[in-house]
Order: sequence, then C-alpha cells, then structure tokens
Amino acid sequence: MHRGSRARVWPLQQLPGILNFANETDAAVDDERNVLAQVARGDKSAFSGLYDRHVSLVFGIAKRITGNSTQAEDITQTVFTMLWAKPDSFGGGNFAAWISRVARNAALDVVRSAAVRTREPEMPIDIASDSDLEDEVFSRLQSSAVVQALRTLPDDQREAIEQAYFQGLSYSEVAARLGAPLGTVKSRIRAGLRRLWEMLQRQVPA
Amino acid sequence: MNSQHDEAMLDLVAAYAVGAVDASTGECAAIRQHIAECKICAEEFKVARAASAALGLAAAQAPPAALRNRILASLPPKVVPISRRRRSPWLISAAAAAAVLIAWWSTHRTPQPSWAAACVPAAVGCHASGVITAAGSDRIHMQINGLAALPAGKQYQAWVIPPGGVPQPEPVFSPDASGSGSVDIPSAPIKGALVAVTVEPAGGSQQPTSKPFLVATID
Repeated sequence: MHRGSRARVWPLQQLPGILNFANETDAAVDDERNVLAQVARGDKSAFSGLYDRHVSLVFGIAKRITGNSTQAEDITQTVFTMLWAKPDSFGGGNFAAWISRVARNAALDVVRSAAVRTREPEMPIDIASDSDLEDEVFSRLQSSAVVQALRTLPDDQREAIEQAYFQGLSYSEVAARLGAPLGTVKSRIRAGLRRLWEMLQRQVPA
Repeated sequence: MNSQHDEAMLDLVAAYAVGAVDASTGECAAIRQHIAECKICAEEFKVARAASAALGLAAAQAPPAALRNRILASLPPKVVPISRRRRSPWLISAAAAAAVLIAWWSTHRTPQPSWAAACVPAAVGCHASGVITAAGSDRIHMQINGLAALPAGKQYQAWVIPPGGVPQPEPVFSPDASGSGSVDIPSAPIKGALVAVTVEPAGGSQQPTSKPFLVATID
C-alpha cells in the first residue's frame, strides 16, 4: 500500500502550547478514575460531583443533536444512569471525551431510532487512543472559544464537519446532501478539522 | 510501521474520527486495522479525534436545574458485597435473611418488567427466542428456548451494551437437552441498553468474537 510519498501530517511536535501540561491533565484524569471507583462503591456524593462537572457537555450535545430539551433531558438521564450502574464502562483515556461520545451516540440513536431498529445490531466498538490531546481540549478550552474557532472555518468545511458530528451523517450521506463528490467531502472534513485544531491551538494559553 | 501508509487513507481516517464513516459498510474495521499499523495515520487520527472532541465542547449548555435532583433521586441503590464489610456472623445472617425476604417480595409482590429477545435478521437458521426479566434493581434474568446445541469448546455468552457504550461481558451458559438455557446477569435494567447473546469459546470472552444472534432492547 505504500506509495512512497511523504504524508502531510499535523505537526504534533509544533504544538507546545497544547502539550506542555501533561502533569496537570494526568492528575485530572487520575481524579476522575478515583471518582469512578467511588461511584462503583455506591458513593452518591462522588457521583454528584461527576454529574456537575460533565452534565453541560452531555445535555448540550444531546440538545444540539435532537433539537429538543425534553429529549435531551431524557438522554442525559439515560447516560448518567448508565454511568451509575456501570462505571467500569469507561475504558480509559479522557473521560470528558468519552462521555461526549456516549452522549452523541445516545442522542443519534434517539433521532434515528426507527432506522436503527430495522438494522442489524452492531456491537459498538471504540478505538483506544492516547488521550493527551483530548485532555488538553477539555482542561484548557472554553466552549465559547470552540464556537469562535468554528466560525473561522470556510462554510463548506464547517458544514461537512457539523453534518457529520451533530447529524450523524456518513461522509457519503454528507456528499449526497451537499451534491459534492465523495473525495471532496472527505478532504473538506480533514481540512476543516485541521484548521479547527490550529485555531484552538492559538487560543490555548501558553 | 509506516510501510503500510496510504496517502488516501488520511482523509478517511479524519472522517472516521468525526464519526462520518458508516458502521454498516465494514469500512470502519479496515480503518481501525490501518490505524493500528500506520504511525502516520495514527497521528492523524489522534489529532482529528481531539478536534472532533472539541465539537462536543462547542455544544455545551447547562440543563434545567431540576434535572439534577430528578437524576440523583432516580438512582437505584448499589449492592456492595458483604465481603467488603467487617460484620459479625449474626449480622451477615440477618443481612442474608433480609436479602431473601427482599428477593421474595420482589418476585411475588411486584410485577417485574420484561422484554422479548429475538433472533437478528442476519442470523439465518436461528430459532431461539427468549424473555428478559428485571430481577430487582441491579440484576436481570434471561430465559431462552430454541437454542441449538453447541460443539465442544463453545458456550453461549450474554452481553450488555449500555446506550452508546461498549459490550460488557456477562456470564456464559449452556442449553439443556431441550434447547433451553437461562442466565442471571449482574447488570441493572437500563433503559436503552441492549442485551445480546453470542457464541464464544468455552469460559467466555472479554470482547465478542462473533456477531450476536439474539438481541433484546430494554425500553
């Protein structure tokens, strides 16, 4: 498969503002693991703290995807009830990033429930990854900063990314909706994510 | 490691990171495999996924304050194993007696919700069906009929998949001569969770090694 060309990759080593806080974020991640251990023992006070730290993320994602406050509240309740019952569902990495994915999947399931029920059930599989960059997103960035960074993206890139993330569309569905070639849509998604990351990097205090 | 790199995969990896690859096409598995083998695409994935995570942050919004009490008040009590506590023998006996009474009361006095388990359409030749019953607030019981006999070295295994979560391994079980089997699952009946059954190597697996043939949705 190797084509011999030098790939254009994002210069991780050139992101010192993002990467220089490993100790702080490691401590935050450890804290959340300790909290989950307390939750596993039935500690409601620890669970309340976890709720307070992450509920805006869960509710906000659910509301953005469903467009409905009542459904978003129900999804939030489902996600946190699951977390109470099965705190060991969290397999590691960044907790906020993980619970964001759980909230997104749950909300998309609600929006697409009719279609989902007619499909063969897929075992949801997550992919393990290093979490240091995700740690930085959640420990250093404010929601308003991300909103602002998103506004700087070219419309076609932002559209493709938002349709994929918040509407749960595949790149082929995005292409059909936008009337654009598949390759173009994939390129827009990658370029948009790269630009978003670069913009966010500038907003992280050095 | 980079001998596997394919320039065309970079766009696909970014699409995968933001959740834009259809899970039903099989493409996801190929991408995951490629990420595992290609350092360049693994780095692409890492940053694309971090940028995608930021999208969730952009949507953050405080919920109504009343939701907090509603959720905290609805949490079922946890059963902490007695072995973790230091209790005298008579206290353990009293606790055991209380547990028996509670179980009896739960079984005989409270109608327990139940859900049907059925073969998935893709499971050709599956004739099994079952019923899942809540056994209190922290366990569920699954009774299945019509199970096929398994070859030596194989067992059926239950899985609970919380909404948006990964499959949690639950106990294995084997059918009797009539094709009936049952399993007690130490998991709360969570709304929206799936309960699935797969065929696994005897003793069970930590992750499913085959597709589920029988599924129930707790709703």
